[in-house]
This record gives sequence, structure tokens and C-alpha cells, in this order.
Amino acid sequence: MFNQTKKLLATVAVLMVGTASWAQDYPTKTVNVVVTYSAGGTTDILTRILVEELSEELGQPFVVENRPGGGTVIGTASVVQAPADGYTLVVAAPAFTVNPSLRKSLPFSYSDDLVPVARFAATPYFVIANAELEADDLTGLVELAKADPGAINYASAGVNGATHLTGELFNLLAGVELTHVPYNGTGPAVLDLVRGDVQVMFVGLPATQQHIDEGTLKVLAVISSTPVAGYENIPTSSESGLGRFEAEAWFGIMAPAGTPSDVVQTLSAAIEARISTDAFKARLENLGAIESFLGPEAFGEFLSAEETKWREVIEAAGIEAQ
Amino acid sequence: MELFTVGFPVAFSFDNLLYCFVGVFLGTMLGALPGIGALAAISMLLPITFYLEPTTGIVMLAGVYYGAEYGGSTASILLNLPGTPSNAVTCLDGYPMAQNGRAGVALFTTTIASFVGGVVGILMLLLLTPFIVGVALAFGSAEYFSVMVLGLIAASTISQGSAIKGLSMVALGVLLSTVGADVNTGIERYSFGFLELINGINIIILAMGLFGVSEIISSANALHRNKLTANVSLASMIPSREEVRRSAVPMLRGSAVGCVFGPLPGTGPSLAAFLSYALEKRVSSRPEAFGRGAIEGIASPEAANNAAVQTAFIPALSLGIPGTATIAVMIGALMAHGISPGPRMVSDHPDLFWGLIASFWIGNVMLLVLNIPFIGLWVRILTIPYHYLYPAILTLICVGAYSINNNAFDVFLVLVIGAFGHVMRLLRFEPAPLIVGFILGSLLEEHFRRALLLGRGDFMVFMERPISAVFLGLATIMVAWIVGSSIRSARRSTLARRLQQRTGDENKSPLKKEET
Repeated sequence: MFNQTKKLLATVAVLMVGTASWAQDYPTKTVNVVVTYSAGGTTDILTRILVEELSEELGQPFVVENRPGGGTVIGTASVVQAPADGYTLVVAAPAFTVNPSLRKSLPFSYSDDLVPVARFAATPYFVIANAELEADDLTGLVELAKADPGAINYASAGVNGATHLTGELFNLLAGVELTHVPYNGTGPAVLDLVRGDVQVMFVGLPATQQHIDEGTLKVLAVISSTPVAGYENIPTSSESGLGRFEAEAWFGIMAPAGTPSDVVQTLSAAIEARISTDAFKARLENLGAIESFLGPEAFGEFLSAEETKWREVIEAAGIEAQ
Repeated sequence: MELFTVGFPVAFSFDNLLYCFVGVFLGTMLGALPGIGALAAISMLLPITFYLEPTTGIVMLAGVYYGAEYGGSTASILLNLPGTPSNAVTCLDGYPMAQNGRAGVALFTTTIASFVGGVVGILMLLLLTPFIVGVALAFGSAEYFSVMVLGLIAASTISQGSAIKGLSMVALGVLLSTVGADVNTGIERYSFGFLELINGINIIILAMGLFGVSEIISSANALHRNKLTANVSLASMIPSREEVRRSAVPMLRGSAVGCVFGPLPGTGPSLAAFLSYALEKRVSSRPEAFGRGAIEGIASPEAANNAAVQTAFIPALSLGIPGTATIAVMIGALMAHGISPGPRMVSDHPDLFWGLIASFWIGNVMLLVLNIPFIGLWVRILTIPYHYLYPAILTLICVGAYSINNNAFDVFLVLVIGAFGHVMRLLRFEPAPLIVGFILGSLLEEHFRRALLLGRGDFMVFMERPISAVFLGLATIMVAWIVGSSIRSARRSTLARRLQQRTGDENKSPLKKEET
């Protein structure tokens, strides 16, 4: 028994030395971080803030490479094919948990060909309504929607995107039928929300904040079962009896499958150390995002739970995979 | 008055002056070089702005944008090759002017027109930004649809030669715009399994292929054809009294057209230029001169595209809505600094807002200097031997195409579109209506279907809304006008044939069929 414990301790010690040497060895050169969206978008900006911190923390340059297109599939495919040595990483976003249910054929498998490293930020979503809507909370919205099925429109920033599927999630959970009106981007959608052509939108705050301040839009709820840091005064979805109504835009780092777990740990630890600083939080706040850390295991569990959730929504909404 | 108390002090800081100059200089140069437009240039400059103050960064990017509209006409006039898509229409009369030995006058006129358009545009920007919220809010999907219908009909009148060919190119552009995921259902159309086509064909790729690559292939086939012969001296730039008289009013009309279409998202400077040309041709007392070197035909569109470029900042700065792809990239640059443009930007970031507008004034004056006393510089850029220039431009086009998505597929696509454009040119189909059809087509479909979705399938939504009804009415009048003038010109040519038969003079050419 005593002997066994000694053996175990020795093994642990060897492993730790191994880890330490790996951690010292990595990174020794530039690390490419692939963003599957265009330069200038929220994902790109958040990543650029993160890589700055990582470059400082780990002493090697982390650079962003934008590979947009194909609903994030093109950029991700390029990462899957890259050597699994920790020098090519990809920024994961909600599309990563939606694509498996939306696309019949993918050139890779999200769960088998990528490993989670860490989640680093999230943008809380809110139920935003035109100020003239005769409902001031989620309960009111549900009542209104049930009184006249299909009469209330909700806007999305694009079909099958996060703002659309969150709307379908609401329809599913509340048992109502809001009509989906897709737009090409958040800007035009918010404008029609202000005009009153559409009455509701499920979206982050930055694009709507100015209209909310001016009183043309109002916030009904934050789409989360628990209060969100910084928005404690806004009612949560569980306060209206819709505890399962949870959605947000989130951002994480993933690596090609086979990336040494020491490298994953090094990266995850560096991310955790850096994102809790006040400076980082302040920069995120400008973008309506909050620091939101999940380590490799927790992030992995989160990813599979999200995938299951969206699969249900997509099936319930009758969206066909292609 | 914040313009003077806040704006000019900001704009006159050393950094902002320097980067304003860098912007307008690069803009003029890249605008003058065919194939590379403001969008590709700004996309390439974007990374630099992450290291600049937000105001400085946006001042530079904006400088590239409006600077390119100045520079773009140089190649249109001297080489019959549009520097940017919105200068395409300037070729129609600019190049014939150069062939008639009036290149200097044409260059002078387009610069003055650009300046006039720019100044009118900035004035509109200053006046309208506070009121624009209400105007933009009056435009819903039904209104946009009706504007697009009017735009498409106008687009088919701009082509030289056969109206049928012009219309078919508009139609082809509309068809190309349907490639990619359907906006309402997400179902992929005509993507042929290419993931790269899910988001449709990129307008930059299409424009670079049609106007850049195909022009280079055509020019390489006929190197002597567009040879630059004009020696532009300052003296040759002085217009005659007649030319001044003919171009003054069109410049103002063009500015007005630009100010109407600049702020409307999705229309932009190209459409403004085409529409102002069409309008000028309609109101002219000598429509037959158009296409043969009519100075009105360059003054009006060049004023229009500059007015449109300046007024395109109205929805961006007042509502945060990008009217064009180029402005979308600029908004992205601002957001990278944590500034989201919107109704409150004027009060939250007065230094940025007023500084930017002040830099427009400064930039336009810089451009006036760059393009009149220093016109020789840009002409000389165009005299670089073709065997150096063309491979260099082709390389830059490929680099630009690659840099949009960091994807080699786009490089192949731009070359394929270029080859296709070359064949179209050989068959005398023009690329300009195709681009207009492409831009308006996707918007037309999107707004049409959304208006019906919001109206729960009732087609009357387009007639019940007053603004929409007015635009549809104008479109109907325009169709009647086109049909009427075609019938008139057909009669005229029949008459000419009869006259010919009677006199038996075979050498006398019949009246040229009026182009519609």
C-alpha cells in the first residue's frame, strides 16, 4: 500500500516534470489563431483583444488569421487539417454547435477532430422589444403571442443564425408562434425594430443600447436563468417561468484533435490568468461582452449540451439540414 | 458650430493631417489604377488602424474612399478603363473626349465636378445628419423595393448599344445575385457544393473580375488600342467658355442625384453615377452627343459619385447603418476601438464625428491640389509600360481577391469572372449594367420578400404606402418614356431609310438609331 502510494507519487512527479518541460517548450514560435469570421466583427475584435493578452503571457506572438465563409466551415476545416501541435488554434462560436444539425455533410466532425481548450467570453442576449409593444416582461409577451398566434414578428440578423434560433427556442419553450423575419445583419434588423415593422428581437445589447436609451426600444428580459453580472437589475427568463430559456453568443478556443494535453492546459491556464484582469473586462464591456471562463473539460461538456439543445430546436422548428 | 470649435482643431492635429493626406493620396493612386478600388484598398489598410487613434484611423480610411472617386476618372478618360466601378460611366464620354484631344479638359472637369459633388455632399451631411433618423425610419422594406425597381429600370437605359443587351446583362446580374444561401430559408442556391459560395459571390470579386481582369485581357489583346497619347499639360486643362457653360448645371444636378442615393443603404456611388448619366441624357437638348464626348456626360456622374460617397456617411454616422460595403469595413474599424456608430455618436464622440467631417473639407481641398497641379503624376502612373503595369495590376488583383477571405477560391473566381467578362466584351455586352443588376438584385429580392412577409402576403403593401407608391409611379413613367422614345427613334430611322431611298444617296449615312 505504502509502496503503491510511493509509486503513484513518483509517477505524478514524473508527469509534472514532463508537463513543466512541455510548458516551457510551448510556445517557441508564432501561434496562428484562425477566426472564421471577417475582420471587424465581434468575434474578430474579441479575439484580437485575447491574442494581445496571450502574446504577453506566453512570450510568443499570437496572430489572428481571418478565414471567413461557408458558415465558419471553411476556416474550421483548415484548422482541422493543421498539425496538432498547438500552433494552429480556432475560435469557436455558437455556429460550432449548430452546424452539426444544420448541415448534412461536413468535411470534419466537431467532436472528433477538435478538442476544447477554453471558453473566454460571452455576449449575453436580451429580449428587446419596440417600446410600443403592449408587454413589459416575458410573461406579457407570451400572453400577447397566445392571444393572436403568428401576429407578432421577431427579427433576426440572419436565417439559421444565433438570433434566429434563439427566437425558435423561445417559440418552443413558451409554446407560442412568433413569426420569424430574417434580415441581413443586425443593423437593418434593429432599424426595423425601431420602426415597429417587427416587434421583438433576441440579441445582444451593443446594437440596441442607443435606441433603448432614447426610449424607442425596451428590454423585456435577459435570456439567462440566473442574473448576469453587470445586468442584475434586468429580470431573468426564469423569473417569467421560462427557466430553460437560455442563450448567448459565446467565444472559446479549440485546437486540432491530438494536440498534447499539456499544451491545452498551458493555453487554458494562460487564458484564465489573463481574462480576469480589470483591463480585459473593461475592453470586453465596450463590446457588450463579459469574461466567461470554462476550462477544457467544462467547455467540452458545455459544447455537447449546446449541440443537443440546438438540435432539438432545429427539429422542432422544422428547419431542414442541407 | 461644433465643426469649427471641435472639428477643425482635431482635423488639423499633425497625425490627422498626415493620415488624411496618406488616405487621399493612396485613394487617388489606387483609384487611378484600374482594378483596385477603395474597398480592396481599405480592407488591406484595416490592420494599420488597430494601431492608430480611432479618429486618425477613420480619417485615413475615409480619405481612401473619397480619394478613389477623384482618381478613378483619370483611367476612365485616358484608357477607357474605369478606375473604380462608380467611374465606369465616365468612360462613355470621357474617353471620346480624350480621343478628340480634350483629355486635359476632361480631367479638369471631372476634378472640379468631384469637388463640387464632394462639397455639396458634405453640406448635406452637415445639414441632414440631425434630421436623418426620421427620414431613414420612413423607409421600410416596401419603400426600398420600389426604389430598387426604379433603379433597375434606370440601369437598363445606361448601356451603349443595344437595349436588349443592356437588359439581358441587368438580368444576368440579378441572377448572379441569387447565388448563395436564400435570405429567408437559408437554402443554398446555385452553390454547386462549394462552401465558398454559401454567402454568394462577393461584389469585390465580381467587380475586380469584370472591370479589372477582363479589361487587362482585352487590352493585352489590343495593346495599341487604348494607348495613352494625351500629354496633359496645365494649359490643356483650361476648358472653353462653351464647355464651362455646358458642365455647370449638370454638376449641380449630379450632386443632387448623388445626395439622394448616397444615403440610401445599398445604392451607393455607382448607382448614383449611372442614374445621373441617364438623367443628363434625358434632359439634354442634344442626347445624340452622349457617348461621343459630351462634357455633361462626365460632369454629372463625377459630381454624383462624390456627393454619394460623402452622403453615404449619413446613415453610417447617424444610425450606424453601412450604406456600402466599404463603409461597413470602416464601421468595423471603429467598433474595433469600442465605438459603435449610432444616433448618440455625435454627442458621445464629438471629436471623432466633427473631426471626421472637418477632415472631409481638408481632404477635398488636398484632392483638388493633387488632381489639378499634380495631375501629371497620375497620368505618368498610367504611362508605365503595359508589360510592367498589367502583370502588376493582375498580381494586385489576385492579392486583393485573396485578402478578402484569405482563400484561394476567390482568386480562381476572379480569374474565371475575368475570362467570362472578356468573352462578353467580345460579344459587345457591357459589364456595367450587370454590376447594377447584381447589387440591386439581391436587395430587390430581400426587400420584396420581407415586405410580403410583413404584409402577410398582401401585394397591396407596395401601393398603400405613399413613398413606395410614388417610386413605383416614377418607374412606370420611366418605362413609358423608354417605350415611347424607342418607338419615336424607330419611326425616325424608317423615315431616314425612306429619305435615303428617295434621294438614292447610298453614301449618306442614315440617322444613327437613338440608343435607349
